[in-house]
Amino acid sequence: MDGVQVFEGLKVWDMSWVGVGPLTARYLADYGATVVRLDSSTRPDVLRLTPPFRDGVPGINNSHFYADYNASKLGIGLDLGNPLGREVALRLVDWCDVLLESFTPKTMAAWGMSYAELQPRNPGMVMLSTCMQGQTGPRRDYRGFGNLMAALSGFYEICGYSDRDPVPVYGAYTDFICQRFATTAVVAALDHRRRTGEGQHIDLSQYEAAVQLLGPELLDYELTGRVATRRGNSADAACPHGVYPTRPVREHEGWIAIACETDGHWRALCRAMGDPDWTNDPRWSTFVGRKAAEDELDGRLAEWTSQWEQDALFAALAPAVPAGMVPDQTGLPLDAQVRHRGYYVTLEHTEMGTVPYDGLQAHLSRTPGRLTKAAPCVGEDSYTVLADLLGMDEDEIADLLAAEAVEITGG
Amino acid sequence: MSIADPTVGTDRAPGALAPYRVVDFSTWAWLTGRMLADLGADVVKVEPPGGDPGRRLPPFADDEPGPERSLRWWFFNRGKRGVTLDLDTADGQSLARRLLAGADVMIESFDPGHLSERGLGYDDLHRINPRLVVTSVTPFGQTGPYAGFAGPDLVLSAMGGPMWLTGEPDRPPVRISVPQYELHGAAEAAVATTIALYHAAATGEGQHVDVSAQLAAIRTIMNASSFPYLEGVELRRQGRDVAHGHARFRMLYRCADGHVSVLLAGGALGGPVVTALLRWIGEEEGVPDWLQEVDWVGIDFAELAVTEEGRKFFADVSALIDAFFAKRTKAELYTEALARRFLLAPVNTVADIRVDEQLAARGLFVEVEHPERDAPVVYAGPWAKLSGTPLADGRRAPLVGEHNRDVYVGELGLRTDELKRLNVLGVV
Repeated sequence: MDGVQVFEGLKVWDMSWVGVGPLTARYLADYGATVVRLDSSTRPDVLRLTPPFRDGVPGINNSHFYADYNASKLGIGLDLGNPLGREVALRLVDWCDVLLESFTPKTMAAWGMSYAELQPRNPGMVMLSTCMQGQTGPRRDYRGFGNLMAALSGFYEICGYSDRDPVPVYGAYTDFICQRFATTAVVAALDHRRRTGEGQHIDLSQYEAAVQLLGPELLDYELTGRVATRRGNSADAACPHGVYPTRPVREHEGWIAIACETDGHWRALCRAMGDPDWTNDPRWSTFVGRKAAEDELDGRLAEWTSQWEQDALFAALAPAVPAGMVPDQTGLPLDAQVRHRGYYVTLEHTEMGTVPYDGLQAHLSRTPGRLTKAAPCVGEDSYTVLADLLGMDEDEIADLLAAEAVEITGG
Repeated sequence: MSIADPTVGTDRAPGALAPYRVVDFSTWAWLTGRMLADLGADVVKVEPPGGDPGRRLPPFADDEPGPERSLRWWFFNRGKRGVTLDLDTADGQSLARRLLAGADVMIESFDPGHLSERGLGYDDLHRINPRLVVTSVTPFGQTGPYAGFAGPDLVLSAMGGPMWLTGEPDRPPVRISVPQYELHGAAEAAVATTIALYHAAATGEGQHVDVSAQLAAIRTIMNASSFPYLEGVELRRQGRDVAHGHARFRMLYRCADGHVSVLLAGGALGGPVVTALLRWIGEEEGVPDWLQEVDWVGIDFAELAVTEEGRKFFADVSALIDAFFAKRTKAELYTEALARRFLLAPVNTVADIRVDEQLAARGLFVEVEHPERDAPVVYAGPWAKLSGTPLADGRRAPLVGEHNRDVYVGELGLRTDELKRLNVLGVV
């Protein structure tokens, strides 16, 4: 490994906030780009005010939610309500190769920073604008977060049990769809730029990206009129297909997922159970027979699984039977495969100290990504950005400080 | 090798990835190649003779099963060309090597080792084509104790962490009812592949990209992973509510014709929303005195969750909102929330999404020609608008072996009689 980073030298001005924009910028940062993240203590990113906090104590520099999404980046504390602050933002536009923003469309326009206004300053720039519903259309100014988007884009309707109201998926579910579509588009646009010198504007509606993960269900509605809805853990073409109790894990509930997609999987499950007499009933031998009595089958399986320790049962089933333990958050970092991949990475944050961060989900053999630093506290890197990246002298920086256009802390 | 120019016959600018050839061997991670095809790459989907086993997955067009009728296949293989090839024969392996010698990217989702056993492992391919990016998408990655284990969606939802957090406390945890986490793995592979391709195109240096769908699923639980470490609290499923540290927020409500989502929470996220919602309720129906003076930004929901009084307060506010919503439809609530600028979303069904006026105004739904059917089919189309390199229109997914002649004869230079021989032998 020679330590080469794919985006070494690439300059990214991350004016986005909350989820999709910062997560997209983090990919670029983890692969070597110099990313400057907009920051402010007077108008902070809402994630700075959102848990988990170190020791549960709220504080603008104590949110790991913010820290995780903004690792590997530099920060600049900037007041965009101040004309001199906006001037610095424009200097960063001139400096950057990639500009990311995730406000509603009128916000950037109000600062004189729409793509049309910025493009002449930096025609080679790739700019990503990603708001909830896109830059155009009647609902362009819709504000929201990825949890609401999960409702809008159809995911809550199809989560839960068929005889009950829907349940939410945890978190801003669609953010993790959109970050992947957004990053792929930005990197493709950068490749086009590398070949042609041409920049461009990417308008990514989080609504439109999210519904891609329901593409087949939308087609099904189109061609059969069927409206996808929630149905517990059952599946069209697999049975048994469910989540069954085990003995408690660390004094919490224990669960195991079992997905028999073929008759072979079912027979392997029977073998693991020791081929008890009830499994000899011929109706269980075919998918159709099993599906017709799914509740009865689930009940019999639950009786058997509940006698097992979760990890022992997983070892007895996988890989012959597709099965999965259901870890809680304490269990995830202890998972043998997650540990093998080295997924969670610990970094030293100025105020929070050593904390594990979500790492990379893909390994690149020659140019692996890596988390280079913990997220900045507000203003922690401002001086570095102004002096080293923008080349400002001490007087200029002093003027910005006197006008309260920038925030500089520490060092 | 000549590469088919997808822009011929249209006035559309070439896509951002137009110079690149992608050979897609994946058996389920189809979305990766689909995203690259949308961005203009020439993606050739390789299937075994007779077709990809995934073509047998429901749902089917008009509910009639058949290898050319799987809607999952249709949706995620749009914009690709298709060839057949038997990787278990020496002739098939040799053809694969020829295809890959001129390619920029290979995508595959076999069990680790499957391709090496056929002389098509990363090291073999790197010798033939040093700039090739080989992307392997698997449930758990190429190495480690669970490498090679099956990872259907239910298992990925379980082992990636989302499942523990989802469902009602009195029932087993649940997954989202249609497959999701293999798609997260495939989309993550599109990110990593594009990054590796950027590097390869700039330096001539290919590499092996190893993507774990389990890890892609873990990322979707947002900030949950670190609650035990930082706050000493384990988050659990709470039905219609969501646990957030020690606090519980409500997310979902019934209304007259379905459900809506509003975050009943305090603080920076929920406070302004609840304030605006209660103002509206107050204007329409009045709110009791005990609610008039509540500071929703300053209120501590963690404290509400632990005291009897707090839980009663939460339940009473909850009931007040339920009663108000019960009389109004999703559309009425959505419209008013937009006008009052507070955060509310209808719990849309696919039927609602299909007629959404914003999606219509932006042209999300596109007609795709299906020459084998009477009429075009409407798909959810472009997921981004790129001003300089718009996403491709994308032809319908290929029929089994539809482009064998174009690719093998037209581009690899096989003679027609050679193709015929391979056909007879069942190689293609």
